[in-house]
Amino acid sequence: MPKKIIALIAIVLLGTGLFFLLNHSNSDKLPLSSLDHHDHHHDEVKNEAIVDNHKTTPQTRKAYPRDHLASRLNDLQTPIQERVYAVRDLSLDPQESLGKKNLQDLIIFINSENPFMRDPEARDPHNFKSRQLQKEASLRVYGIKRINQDLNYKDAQRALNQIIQKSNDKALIRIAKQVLDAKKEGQDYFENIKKGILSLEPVAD
Amino acid sequence: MNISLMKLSLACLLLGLVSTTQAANYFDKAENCLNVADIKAVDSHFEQFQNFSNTSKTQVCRGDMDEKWFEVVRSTLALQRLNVTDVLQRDANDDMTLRPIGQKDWWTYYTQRANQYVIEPSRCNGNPNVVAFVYPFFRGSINLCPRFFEMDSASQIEVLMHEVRHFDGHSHVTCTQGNEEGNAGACDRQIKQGGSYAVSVQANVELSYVDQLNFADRVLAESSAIYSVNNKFNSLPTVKATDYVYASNDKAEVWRLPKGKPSQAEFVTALDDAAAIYGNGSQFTVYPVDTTKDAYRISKGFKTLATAIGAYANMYNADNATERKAYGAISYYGMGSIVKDNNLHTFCGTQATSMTSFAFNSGNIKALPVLKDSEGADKMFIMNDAGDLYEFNCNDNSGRLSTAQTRSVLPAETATAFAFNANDAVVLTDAGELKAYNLKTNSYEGIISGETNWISASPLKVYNVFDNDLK
Repeated sequence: MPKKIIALIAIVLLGTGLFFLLNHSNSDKLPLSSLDHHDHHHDEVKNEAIVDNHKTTPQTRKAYPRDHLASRLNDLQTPIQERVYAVRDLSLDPQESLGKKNLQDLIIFINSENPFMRDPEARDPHNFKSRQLQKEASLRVYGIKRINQDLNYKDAQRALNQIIQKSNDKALIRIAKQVLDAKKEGQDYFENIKKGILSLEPVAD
Repeated sequence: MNISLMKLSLACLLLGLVSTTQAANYFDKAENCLNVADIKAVDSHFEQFQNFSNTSKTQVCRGDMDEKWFEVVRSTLALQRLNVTDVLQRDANDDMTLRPIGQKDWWTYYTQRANQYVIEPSRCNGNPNVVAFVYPFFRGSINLCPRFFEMDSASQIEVLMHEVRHFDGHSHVTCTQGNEEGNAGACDRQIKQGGSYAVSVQANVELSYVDQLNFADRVLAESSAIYSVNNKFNSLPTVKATDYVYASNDKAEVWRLPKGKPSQAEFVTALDDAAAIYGNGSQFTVYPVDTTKDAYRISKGFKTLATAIGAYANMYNADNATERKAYGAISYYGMGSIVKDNNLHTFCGTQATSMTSFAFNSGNIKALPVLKDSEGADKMFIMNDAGDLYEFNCNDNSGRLSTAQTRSVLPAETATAFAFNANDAVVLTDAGELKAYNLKTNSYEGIISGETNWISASPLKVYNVFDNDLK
């Protein structure tokens, strides 16, 4: 009797396995290796959301070797998403020497010329180059946000003044000035402007 | 035994079938298949999509259709889901949820302006870096060039929304300021004119809340919006946050008074009936004095009725007119609660999906003042008829509610009270007066309004965008 049950289970499992195989081959599904990769990608997205929801602490942030950071952030061969994570994970604690170095390198990066700023094609708003200019500028804006988030007013003032004085990007200078003004009042420019935009008379209503 | 095994086998087969129709994440560029049912839901509008939805399959995958059309359908389906996927809108029935997004309907906006795609028209050949364009006189048709398909999902959505705004007659102007000064057709005049760049900015801010996008793409959407705000308008948009007291009176009027400037009171609206209004950050829940009338929720501009009115209003509306007379104080700030028969009803515990009731045994609940904790966050207290204040706490792990008396007191005549900071509070008295109250000295500091017919008062921070001439 037990042998019969084992045989039945084996048949059902084989049948189910066969069904899956047929199902995948009949519906032009991806091979299993691709599906594994696909699922893994979903897991990554989930993990990223978790990191986002749990504020990264200074202890978990990395301190990059000085020689590498600015060049890494400027490396157009590195996908922009990876560079966003590099900025996110930076330790910017001005009390620590590596945090101080990271901050200085971040400022150097923010002040470095946008590689598409002088590209004539980037001046056409329908051109892909203008999108790339916008992405590179956005990474610098995120750097300013990190400074605003992690530093007290005095340290942020010192850092943002370097951007206000040395950047050749007029929009970044405007942002740095407004961030500083809001921080002086105990407010967050990024939150205020987002809420302001959301309270605009909506086009989509 | 055989029957059990057959059931097991059937369950396995069903599991296999279910696994083939799992929900797709259309914001994910790596998504390999699209659900045919989702395509069918939009193919009466985008008729070109019927080429892919007329199939007996439950999904169509990359190999089943042209790679570029796959991208077009995927990004369109992602755009359709923009309304329903953001983290702030998920808790539509949560009384405490702030909803700054305000139920914008981007899908309706988009489908009112677009109904077909032209993939790689000949004009794309003129410049390999062009992304997309429209001819304003060919309303509905969006031309997509090869670069469009290389873009990340959020950028594709922003491009589509930006382009269709041109069908409304919004064209760009020459930049008169900033990095692109002198550049023709690269700026809009003012963000408040609602042109294509205003749409890009609004869309990007909203995309920054979409939890189906990964963290980096959300960061880039937010940062891109802020960069555009400071680069793409010839008048610089700046924002000012102002604290207001919103108050309703027995004439069914709603007024708002800027904090510290009561003389600048502004009339907001006239309600259908005299009512108490309670803010939750971006909307008001309105409880008419006449208990035969139902409670409702409305946008902070008192223009748009909300479909989800929250659990407290639902509880109130479920009772009849006589039962409604047993309701007392209500608060949507801090922990939030609604009082009925001296019982507090609120949500407590990480898994709480229904309200918990708590009997208050230290007198009659007179008010639910919302003051600030040491970190400046809203904290709701219970005030009894003697003016004593009690902390109201929820142990999230156990789901247990408790109270603890504080050393603070408020005037016994308080009907409603809330604070803007550790010092300054607003008190609505039983006599219908609005007064400024100092929480440090425990004394009134003045009259906010000389009227004595106020029914309710609620705080609201309002963010105003101003266009600043840069010349």
